[in-house]
Amino acid sequence: MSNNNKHELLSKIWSDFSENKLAVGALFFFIIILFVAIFASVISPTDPYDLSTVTIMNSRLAPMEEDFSGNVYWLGTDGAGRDMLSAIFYGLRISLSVGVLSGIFALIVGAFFGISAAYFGGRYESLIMRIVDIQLSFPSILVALIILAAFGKGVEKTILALVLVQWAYYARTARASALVESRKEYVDAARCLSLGNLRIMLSHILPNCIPPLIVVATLQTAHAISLEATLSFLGLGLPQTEPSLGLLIGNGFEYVHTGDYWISIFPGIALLFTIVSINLVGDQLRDMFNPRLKK
Amino acid sequence: MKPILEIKNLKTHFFKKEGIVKAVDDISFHINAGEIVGLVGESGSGKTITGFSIMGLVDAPGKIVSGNIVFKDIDLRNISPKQMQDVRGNRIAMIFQDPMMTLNPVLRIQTQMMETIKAHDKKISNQEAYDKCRDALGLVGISSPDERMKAYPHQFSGGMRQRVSIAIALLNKPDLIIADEPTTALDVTIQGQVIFEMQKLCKESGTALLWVTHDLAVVAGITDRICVMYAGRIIEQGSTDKIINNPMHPYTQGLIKSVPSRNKKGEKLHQIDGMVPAMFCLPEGCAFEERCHQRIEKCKHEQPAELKQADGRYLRCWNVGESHER
Amino acid sequence: MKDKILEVKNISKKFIKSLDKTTKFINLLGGSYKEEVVHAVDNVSFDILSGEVVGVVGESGCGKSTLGRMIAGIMPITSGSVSFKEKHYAGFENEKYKQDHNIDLKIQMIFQDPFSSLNPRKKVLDIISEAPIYHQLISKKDKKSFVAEMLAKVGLNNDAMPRYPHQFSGGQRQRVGIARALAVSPELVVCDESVAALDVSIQAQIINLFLDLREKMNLTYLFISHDMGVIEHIADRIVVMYLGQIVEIASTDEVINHTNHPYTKALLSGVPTLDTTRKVYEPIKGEIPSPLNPPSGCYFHPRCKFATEKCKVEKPVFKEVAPHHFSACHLND
Repeated sequence: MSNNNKHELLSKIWSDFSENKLAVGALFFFIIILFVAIFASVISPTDPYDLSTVTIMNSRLAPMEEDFSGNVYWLGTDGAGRDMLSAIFYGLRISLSVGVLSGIFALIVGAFFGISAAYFGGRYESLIMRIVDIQLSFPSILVALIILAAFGKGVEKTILALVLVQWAYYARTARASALVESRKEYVDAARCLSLGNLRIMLSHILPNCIPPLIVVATLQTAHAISLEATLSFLGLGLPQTEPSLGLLIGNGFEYVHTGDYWISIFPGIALLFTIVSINLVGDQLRDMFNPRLKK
Repeated sequence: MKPILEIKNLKTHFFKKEGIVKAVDDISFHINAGEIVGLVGESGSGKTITGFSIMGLVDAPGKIVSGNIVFKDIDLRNISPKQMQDVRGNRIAMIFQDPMMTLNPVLRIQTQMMETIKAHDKKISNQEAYDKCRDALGLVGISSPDERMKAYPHQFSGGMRQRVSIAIALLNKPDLIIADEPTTALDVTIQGQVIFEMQKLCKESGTALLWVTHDLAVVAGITDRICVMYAGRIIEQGSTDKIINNPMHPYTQGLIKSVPSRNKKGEKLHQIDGMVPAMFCLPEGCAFEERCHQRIEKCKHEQPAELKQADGRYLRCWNVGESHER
Repeated sequence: MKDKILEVKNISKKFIKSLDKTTKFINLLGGSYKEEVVHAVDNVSFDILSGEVVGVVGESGCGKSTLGRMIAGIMPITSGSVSFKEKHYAGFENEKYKQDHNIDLKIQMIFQDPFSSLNPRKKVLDIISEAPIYHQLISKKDKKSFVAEMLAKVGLNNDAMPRYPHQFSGGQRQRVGIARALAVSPELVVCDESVAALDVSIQAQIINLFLDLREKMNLTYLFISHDMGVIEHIADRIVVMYLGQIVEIASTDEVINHTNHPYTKALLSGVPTLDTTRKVYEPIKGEIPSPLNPPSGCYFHPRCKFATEKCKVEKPVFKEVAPHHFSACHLND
């Protein structure tokens, strides 16, 4: 019988979501991107980082050009002879992993501080929210740059920087939701039943704050991916051994002037589509959860 | 005496994804000039939608499906929006449960009241309009009206705001006021005051009043006639005295018997078992049948017709009362 | 002679809006802003005996809800104390206001709004069983049978267990709320306007349920309501509150038939009832004062038909005017 409830809920969410055809298209597209990212090593025509197959003889081949062995590279090759299509697939995987991972950690940290601030109130809440306000008044790229300048390059450090930038958005949203929920009578009932504070926050308040957090998570993931791309483009984020889309764009940038546009543009287009599709899905989710006028 | 409002076989349905909700399903009643009529029902009975239907305030997915609403020889269903605007707020006024549905929080009381007058009387001078407003506030018992006029709604208490809403409703001396749960949100002592004043004002100015509420005690004190609604239909209507002191429909009987003051202290209250049926799947027979202790076989299959009784009341019940067709 | 189950001694609840830095600065320059203090509950004392139903009645601003919450332990007490069965458990703002684990569960509360008093994301099964499992009163494997027992007590079927609150009506949700409170075997139940949000016919069902459970489970009730009709029916004793203070306490019979305080009289006579022959009644005049700015002397004097000069300046003393009948009015002097 609880399965019926879940079916009801899911089909209601789907029917609300599918009112916006564009968002449905974007979701479909994103699922394809996700599939590509997960199965990159399986579906890539080549492994662009296998040094035994990559040869500089194939460098800078234009899209659809043949190489000496008769292989066709659909999107061309880069300066070192790597197949662009494969590089993009692997790059998607890295960009998405960094974006999603940092999003998840930021969500955990942000939700923890936001919910506890709303629940306990007082000086603790003021302190947390002041820190959030101060941080949010700086452009995120600036904060990330400062952190990376202090800690150096690397995958973990980039993820750390992204988490430190993003937690504030999650904290603010979580606190707003938690403030409303904390005043409701079921929280009073839980306190009357002497359930501990931690249990009330995790088991009662948090689940009711999830809808707005999902919206923030979706939009913030897109933001994180684009932020990481910027940092890598500038040479500050991920190292060369983990080429995300941003890094590919950065590496290919020098060739744009000589006319070998595909080394930079195609990763750029892939990044664009990824971010736009996530944003469209996130926008529709946000509209669904807003109280709307009756139709 | 011809009634000023006559409703015949009104049906207002809501067309939702999940099905059709027959919020108001074939109701007929009338209001005479200067009369106070109570429309009583619990949640989901359709009483509020009835009031909204008369005022033309029913929005999609709701629609008045059939029936007549005739106000002083004007067919309210078949007039242009502009003509309806002339009627609304002018000849028929409405008071809501939450006074903040009437009062604009960013306008001073004075601004809002004068706006109401000027909307329906383009030629009136500012001074005349101001005087009218001041008098209206005095009528509803607000002291120092000149000062109060300049205030904003948030500077008033709940009872005062509701009085201002009543004053606004009375401004253009309407023929009919529809009051939807006007005192439900007020404290009991303030409720008493407001009811008393409304009754006085209506009798003095000859304005008819349709009082929509779930509170039997309120209608018992103030109304001349009552219509009792259940699941979208009027199941009993007639003079207040007769219905309160001698209810005939099993639902009305149950309602009245379950009021604490009608029960012996310490004993279990009389209760109506079960619940109102879900509005999406009303039964084909009488909607009250499954909770009724006086049901007969016919009640399950056929909705009771509205039949006039010997004492003048109308009743929808197969088992109780006499069977003269309306 | 019944035992005292609850002793409330001089409890008060103050809400203070302190001055912020800007205002303090202005005061230094010669301004005269004061802190805003609301005495939501002002020096209230009374006892509850085991097995009785004490009704608390009053209008907005009288503090009855705040009083209920302080007794249930979910709102800190500013001053005074509450003792449950001789175990003193409440003190000042900074102290832990529940010292004994068991006391926490012995006093439970039923809330007003059936829509926000249940967690919308939990199934009924979990709502009812959460606290007993947390406090190890039952084991996880007994969850279902325990909840079935509770549901039966409040008149619901087992098929309610896997469902969520939004699938129930107001009356049914209140029943779930009652089951949730009963699951921890309380002795005193505080009902805060528990039937106010329900339709009349459902109200009767829930009131009957309360009376039923009182017998079956030996409960004591503190029943808070604004509806004198309901209180008259269900309460053994009545506490009448106005603007944070108790103005009258007596047995129900005494309060109804030998009403003493003018405010109680107004509550009883100035309110509409089913008695249609009494179409003309005299409601009391005036607005309920704001708790931020209470009147001088007796709080009720601006609205009181019988007010004298003394009432305007001196607070009346709360004293016994008949056996076990207390009132605070200068007319008794």
